[in-house]
Amino acid sequence: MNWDFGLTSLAGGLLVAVQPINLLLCFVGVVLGTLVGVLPGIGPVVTISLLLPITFGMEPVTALIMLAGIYYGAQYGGSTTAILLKLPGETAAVLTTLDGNAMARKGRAGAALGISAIGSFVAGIIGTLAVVFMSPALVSVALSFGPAENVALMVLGLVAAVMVAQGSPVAAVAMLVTGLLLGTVGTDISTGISRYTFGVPELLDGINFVVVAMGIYGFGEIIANLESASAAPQQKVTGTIGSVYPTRDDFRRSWKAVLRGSFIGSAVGFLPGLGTSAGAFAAYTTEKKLSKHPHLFGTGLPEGVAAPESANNAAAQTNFIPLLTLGLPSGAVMALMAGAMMIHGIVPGPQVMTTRPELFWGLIASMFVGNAMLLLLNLNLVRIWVRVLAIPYRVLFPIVMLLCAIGIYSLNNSAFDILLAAIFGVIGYIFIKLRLEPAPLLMGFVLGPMLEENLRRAMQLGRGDPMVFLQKPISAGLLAATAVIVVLVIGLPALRRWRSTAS
Amino acid sequence: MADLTNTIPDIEVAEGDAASGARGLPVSLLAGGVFVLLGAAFVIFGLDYRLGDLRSMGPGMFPVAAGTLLLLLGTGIAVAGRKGAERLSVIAFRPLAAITASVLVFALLIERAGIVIAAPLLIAGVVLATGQGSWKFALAVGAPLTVASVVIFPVLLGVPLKVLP
Repeated sequence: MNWDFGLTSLAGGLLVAVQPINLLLCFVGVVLGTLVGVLPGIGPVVTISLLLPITFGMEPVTALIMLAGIYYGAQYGGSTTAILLKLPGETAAVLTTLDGNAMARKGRAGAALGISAIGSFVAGIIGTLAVVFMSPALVSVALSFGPAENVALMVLGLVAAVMVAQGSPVAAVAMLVTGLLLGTVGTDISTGISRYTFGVPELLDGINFVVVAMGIYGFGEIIANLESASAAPQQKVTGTIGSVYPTRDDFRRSWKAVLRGSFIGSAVGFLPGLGTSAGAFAAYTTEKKLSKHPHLFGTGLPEGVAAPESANNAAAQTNFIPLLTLGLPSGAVMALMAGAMMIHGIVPGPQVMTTRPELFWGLIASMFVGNAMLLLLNLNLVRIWVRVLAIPYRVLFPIVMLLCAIGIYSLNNSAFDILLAAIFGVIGYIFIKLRLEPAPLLMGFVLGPMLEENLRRAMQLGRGDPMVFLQKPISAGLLAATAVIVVLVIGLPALRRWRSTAS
Repeated sequence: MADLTNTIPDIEVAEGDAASGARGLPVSLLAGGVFVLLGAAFVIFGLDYRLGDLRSMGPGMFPVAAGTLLLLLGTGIAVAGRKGAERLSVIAFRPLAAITASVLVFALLIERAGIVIAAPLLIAGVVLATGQGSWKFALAVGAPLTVASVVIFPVLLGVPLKVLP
């Protein structure tokens, strides 16, 4: 059993990752990821949902390698759009639009793309190393958890994840609870009673999470995009690209930003809920604070591209830590990954590393491979990605519509699922209009059944006394941490208001 | 972190309706109302299932408890946000109806008429009804997409999809 920690296990994983089929699908994943990262109208959530049915016949590890590649590949692609169009292809690339596009306007688009690709690569490697070194420790702690600790952990993970996300924290918790409730639709595992099915036989197995994801993120977002798309003229790609290899001066100015960005991104991405955007934001502000010439940020500094791009890629890797070690998805994409694991018969949690080491370490090792592929793809194929950018949205969205419709049908060969997805499309549009972020709903939906099952078991073991959660030290600690986060998130803005009125 | 996007200078957020000046109800009041309705629905229907007790929770316990929590959260959101500054902007009924109807038609036809009928109708529906293009444009996008979807899904990937009526 030398799987249990560190580099020997990683070497074993590397053997899995370099199997031809895994290499091929890793490549497919990162290419598709870059593609959807480049395209502003379509994101990794829809893409992963679309490809999930295709992975049914694959080995679980192969499926996860491809789906993960889509996610971190999208982080690379998002920067291309940010630099060339001043539009974030992915939300995490928002800060890259500042200095990246300024560089492009000065005719240095190629250098900006090169810095971003190289920075992303270094960060991807550092982020993945963080996954390698942190996972065994977390797993060894989490393996000893009983139902009470599991419940406390899920509460902490979910609450922390949704409360620090954008928007109102209370509304995010409400979305999370809505997700938990939607997760109860179907046959109750413990008693066999069907809940909220209203006599519809198709609902007995519950609602498929892909239907929810595609409805909300696919159909719902298309409706919202069409609302404004007709008014927006086709964007023109900024200037000429030039050489993608940065100059010696670019390197000198940005290597520290890359390293700092990687570490900040790794740390931020690991915390539940603080996704890739928060990492990029933290890295950019840090770089600006440390700089001798902060006023020049936004005018096309290479370090202003390097910092946020490194951070969002590092965060994209460490985002996997809570899912792979604790079974906690820290966002919409990770919720889908959790669902993908369940479809392939793997319950996300600490036991994955010990019972399925080839899957655990194979997936992590594939991230090194995938990042190397992405570096080459992004340095050499920039001109192809630029042509992708020229596809107008009115061509793109019918393609996405059809792929979603066929993809949903092929999940279970069920036309009912398409109807359901159409309903979730309307719901998703309503969420957008009401400024409600849908990621917490998806997370609650995926984790709901596990939370309920663990809650029931914990209460049974505690003979019906809810104090069981406070009598066990670990679960009490986790719940205390949850309380601290709630107080901080609700209390801090109030404190800030108080300070600003006081000064 | 809560107001991340607001603190970033000089970035246009792609929310086309933010400045449209439409004056509807506050979004937080409406959001709270939606949560109240959802929570109430799950509680009301959930009471049909056995609640059990804390020691052995029945199928109704978890959804009724979560539904009650949602009801309370929704009430809080609605009360706190009843005078919120952000108002509901205009609902884009045309794309909403066009996309939803096209998907519903696709769902009804896919098992009866097959992909060669359902796919072009979906494309035509979403292109024409949303006003994104002409008949010619719908044909130019729809025809190759239909062919591609037949080639990719049933033929290459072996997805059991009905092709012809």
